[in-house]
Amino acid sequence: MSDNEENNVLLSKWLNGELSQQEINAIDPETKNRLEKAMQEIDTWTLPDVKAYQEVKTTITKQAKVVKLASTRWVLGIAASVAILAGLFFFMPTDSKHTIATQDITQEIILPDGSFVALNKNSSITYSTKAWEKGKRELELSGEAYFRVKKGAIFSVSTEHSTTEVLGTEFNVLARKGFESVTCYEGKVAVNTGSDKEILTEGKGVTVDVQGNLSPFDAPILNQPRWSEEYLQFSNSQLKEIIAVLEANYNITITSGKIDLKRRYTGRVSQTDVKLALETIFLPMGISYTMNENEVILK
Amino acid sequence: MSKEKSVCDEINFQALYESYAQDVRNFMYYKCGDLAQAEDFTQQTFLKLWTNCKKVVFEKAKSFLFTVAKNDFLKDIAHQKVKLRFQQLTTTDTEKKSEQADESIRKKELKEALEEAISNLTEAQREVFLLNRIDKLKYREIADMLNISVKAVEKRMQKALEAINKCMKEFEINKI
Repeated sequence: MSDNEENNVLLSKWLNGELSQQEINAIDPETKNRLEKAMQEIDTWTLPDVKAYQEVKTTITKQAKVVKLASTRWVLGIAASVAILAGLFFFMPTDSKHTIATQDITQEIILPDGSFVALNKNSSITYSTKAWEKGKRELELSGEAYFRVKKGAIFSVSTEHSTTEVLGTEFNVLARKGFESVTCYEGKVAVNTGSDKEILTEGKGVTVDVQGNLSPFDAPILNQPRWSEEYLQFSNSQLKEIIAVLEANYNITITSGKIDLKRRYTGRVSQTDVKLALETIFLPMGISYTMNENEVILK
Repeated sequence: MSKEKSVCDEINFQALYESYAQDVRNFMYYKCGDLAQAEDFTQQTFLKLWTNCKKVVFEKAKSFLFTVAKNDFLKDIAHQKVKLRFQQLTTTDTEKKSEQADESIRKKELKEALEEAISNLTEAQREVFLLNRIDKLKYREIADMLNISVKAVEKRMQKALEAINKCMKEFEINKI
């Protein structure tokens, strides 16, 4: 063993507290000095604490929540299946179908395979734990969710009008009454409606209409849910759809009276300021409105 | 025969979390260089322990956690370049006062130089070095955790120390 190597072996033993004073004196003093300085510095280093157990407890030990699903806004198809489940659904971890639903808050979820879901307000996902145990990663979505899927078997998200399949990637699915869109942020996603099919790559999205037709659009690359951002972009969207999204986002009801809901709007709408959002949309369209607490009436 | 502790008992599961979550998180951080990702993975690792609680013997839980950490989450990470950053234990007030401004600047520069040198180590050398210096583990413990021999740990340490020595040499030359 060369001198240098011998020195190195001594150094490593020295740091482990394995050397006698005599052996320590045998180490090259310059090197020892330098390393002492370095270790003096490094020994003051630390990393932030991990989250306390209480903070992570809900994510780890609970797998589903019981929620009263009394929403009339939901489209009949999904509402029916979920409503039935809600009736039968008690908090029994051994039960097969799990539903996780939100009302006024957003919720982050880790699925049984480790995939991450950020669930927006007034949304729900439903899946069968038995199917997932078998490796079938399928779930139903009503509302809006952002997914970060771990690589693995095909992962599919069904909404009222479409099914999105992905192998492991990041994407956002929006499925409110009458308005659906899928945006891919990373990887590849296949969107299928029965009458139309599209494969999306990074930065591409599609909107889905009630006939199942897909219209592509370009999306900015993000690595977080787009609805956690300040603005929501509408691109030639019908008022009908915009109203549905606003209602869900802000927990308000909008009564449109005789207003023509097929009118279209393009522009950015605030997701954090409800007054600003209403102004931005209705003012340029010449629609006046009154707002009383959570009720908005269009004139 | 003594009653066996079940991992499915929340009291026991909590004890395991409180004993090992920090270690697992740090370990993942040394490997992936992203604190948020390391925390995310740590939670998922414990989630896996929870869903498999019936199958894991309490005494083997630590080994299960690190095996899952390595095999399930870290294997997907491309071995990308990392930039590790550490916090400093706060110095006492008296120490702070006696420190001159230029002294603190030099200290800061030293820290950054060392962080870079450590980040440039191979993943294998880096994890051994940091487990020893930050988590205060002995070589025997590191060998058990990583499933390698003590000799292998020592070799990696030696390489790490060579790099640190070189870093210090360069630092001293530049600072005089």
